[in-house]
Amino acid sequence: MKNFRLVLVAVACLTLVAGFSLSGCSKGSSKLKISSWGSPEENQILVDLLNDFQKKHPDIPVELQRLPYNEYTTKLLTEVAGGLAPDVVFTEVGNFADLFLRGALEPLNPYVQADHMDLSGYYPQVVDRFSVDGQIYVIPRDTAPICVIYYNKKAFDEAKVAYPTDDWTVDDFVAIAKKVMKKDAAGKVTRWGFIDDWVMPEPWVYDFGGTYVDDVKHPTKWTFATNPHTLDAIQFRADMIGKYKIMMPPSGLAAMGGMGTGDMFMNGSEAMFISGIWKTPTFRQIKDFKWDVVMMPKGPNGVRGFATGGSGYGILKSSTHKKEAWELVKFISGEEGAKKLAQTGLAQPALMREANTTFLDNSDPKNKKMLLEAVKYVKYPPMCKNWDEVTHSIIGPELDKVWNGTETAAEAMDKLKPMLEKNEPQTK
Amino acid sequence: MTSAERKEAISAYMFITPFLLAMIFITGGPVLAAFGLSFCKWDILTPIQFVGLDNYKEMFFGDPRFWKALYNTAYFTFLSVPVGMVLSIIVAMLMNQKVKGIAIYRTIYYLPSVLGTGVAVAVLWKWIFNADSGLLNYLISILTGIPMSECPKWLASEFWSKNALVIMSFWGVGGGMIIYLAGLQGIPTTLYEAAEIDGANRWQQFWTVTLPGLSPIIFFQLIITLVNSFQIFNQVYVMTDGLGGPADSTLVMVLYIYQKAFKYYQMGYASALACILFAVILLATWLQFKFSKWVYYEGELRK
Repeated sequence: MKNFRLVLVAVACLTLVAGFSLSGCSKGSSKLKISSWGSPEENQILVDLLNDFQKKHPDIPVELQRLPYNEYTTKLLTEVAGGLAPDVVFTEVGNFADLFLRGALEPLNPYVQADHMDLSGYYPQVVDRFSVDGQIYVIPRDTAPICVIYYNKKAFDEAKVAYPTDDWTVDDFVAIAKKVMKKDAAGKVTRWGFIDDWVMPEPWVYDFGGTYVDDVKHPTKWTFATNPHTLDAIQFRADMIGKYKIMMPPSGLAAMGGMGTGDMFMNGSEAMFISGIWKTPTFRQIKDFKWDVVMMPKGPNGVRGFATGGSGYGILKSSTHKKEAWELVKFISGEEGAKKLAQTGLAQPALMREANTTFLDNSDPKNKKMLLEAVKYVKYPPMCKNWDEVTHSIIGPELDKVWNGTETAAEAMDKLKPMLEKNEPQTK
Repeated sequence: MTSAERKEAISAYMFITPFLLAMIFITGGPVLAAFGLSFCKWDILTPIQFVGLDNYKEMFFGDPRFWKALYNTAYFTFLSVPVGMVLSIIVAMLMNQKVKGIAIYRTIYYLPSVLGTGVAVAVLWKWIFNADSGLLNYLISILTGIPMSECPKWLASEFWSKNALVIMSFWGVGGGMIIYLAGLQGIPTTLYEAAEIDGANRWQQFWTVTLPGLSPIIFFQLIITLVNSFQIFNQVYVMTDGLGGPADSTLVMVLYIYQKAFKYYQMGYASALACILFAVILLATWLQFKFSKWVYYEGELRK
């Protein structure tokens, strides 16, 4: 008994000591740290680039930190607060706003000017996204308009429908989607006409000429619930489910259990699927049917607008190796990186020359050249801190009811008006 | 205090020392910090700003999602805890029969609890709840003849989604069962014999011997499962992709705290929410202790 007590005391003491020593170690590093996210193949591009960089600059040791996309910004912010932040960060149009608005990003104009770096080779729309009031904060890597409708050629052939062309309209789209659907003898749908990569109202909102805010760069109020085009777009997405019945209802979607709608396109249970061009490497594994891409149909108001992703590299203000960090940013967002990226088919490089050459090789999807046109119509999420919260926690839950058919878009908008007035865009 | 008593007290403290130390040095700091932060505004990067009671004011008077989350959590708790408890006791009594191969049955019933409520299990349940091709609706349509297309839409329906979570919580009945089983076996057989001699039938025996004998365990289980239910998170997070949908119908308190803190970077507000959740749990537990007269401890004399 006495021995047993001694053991207990010893265990307690050990726990304490371990606790203190663990919290004490690993602070600061002389290495240049870069953080990123991405699939294994996307990551490999960066790993190769870093190896090349290492050969050119053996004096700048680089360490790559790969984070899961879902926790990327949270992890970065926590690291900044804890003084363990990376020097170079990979960021995309959405979390760029999160980092910029919290003052975490280093303005890059002085570096660009000192090096006489020419930014005119990048798509001006993308450069503009990553600039605020004339100051650039991120050197772009790629642009990703979510206007890519992947279609299953076999489904079209079976239904004897001509392949869609980039000049089609929303009406054409609905008519075609109805035709390429397939049902079994019991009337159960075995192939849906269309589905989105996740619940995505944005592409339709912009395509219909709708808006979320009054001014993307300096938003002061939400226009989502007051813009009639936005309302039409939301009603259209709901109609695809409830009225035209070309899209799988949320009951099928919410309980997919691990399977994404992209997998459903791959196994042939959807004829058309909207996403960004980044699905290409995955869809190149499809063996059972041929597929291609087409630009999202033109909205009923004759305008085009595409919700857009895209990414680039920035430097954190907290970095103590800014000079070296800039060398790295310049290198990985340059020509070599763009070439590698284009070869995988994963993304449309922000460097126009690479987008016009390497990206347009002869590989599937054949019609990806339409992206060179699409980039003219890119739309970006507003620069405010509460974009995610408003879209996911205020607009999202209300729209769930519209998708489920328990509310019309107009009813939802009426409910959203006071909520959006109360939660105005936060830019400070 | 006699020396025997003192000795006993010392060993009792020794036993809880590791946990106490861990609590003070590992959990204690964050708990205090959360309490302090609940009076501040902080988005991790910009400096902490003291805002007094603003977070609490906003929560009670300006945030419908807080009330929704509180309601959803209470709904889940007050449905899953009592029903789960009754189920556990029934299963425990069944598993207390002296039948050949009972150990195998016990293992089978306990197995789901070993798997816990982790991500894999939640994904499994997502499949079970699939409205169009899930196992649950398949069974319902076989048993009732209702076509699958008219069965509940479970996770996709605002009305059924919370009930789906309750049903899923019964996955853990085995955990309660094992504890009740131990309790049942601790009830002296002499009591049953005495009851039988007094002419009590099986039902009377259950009410006058089994239930009072189990009462300390029921009390313990009630407190533990209630606390756990208030903190439900994993299942909801996985099954709704962290959103608590559809239309916030499965937004529970801890998920809301998580969203506020780690998705929207409102650490102060999230801390205030956590403090309120703590107060609610504390109150619930205190009430249970206050009204615990029904608990019968062995060796205790009652007049």
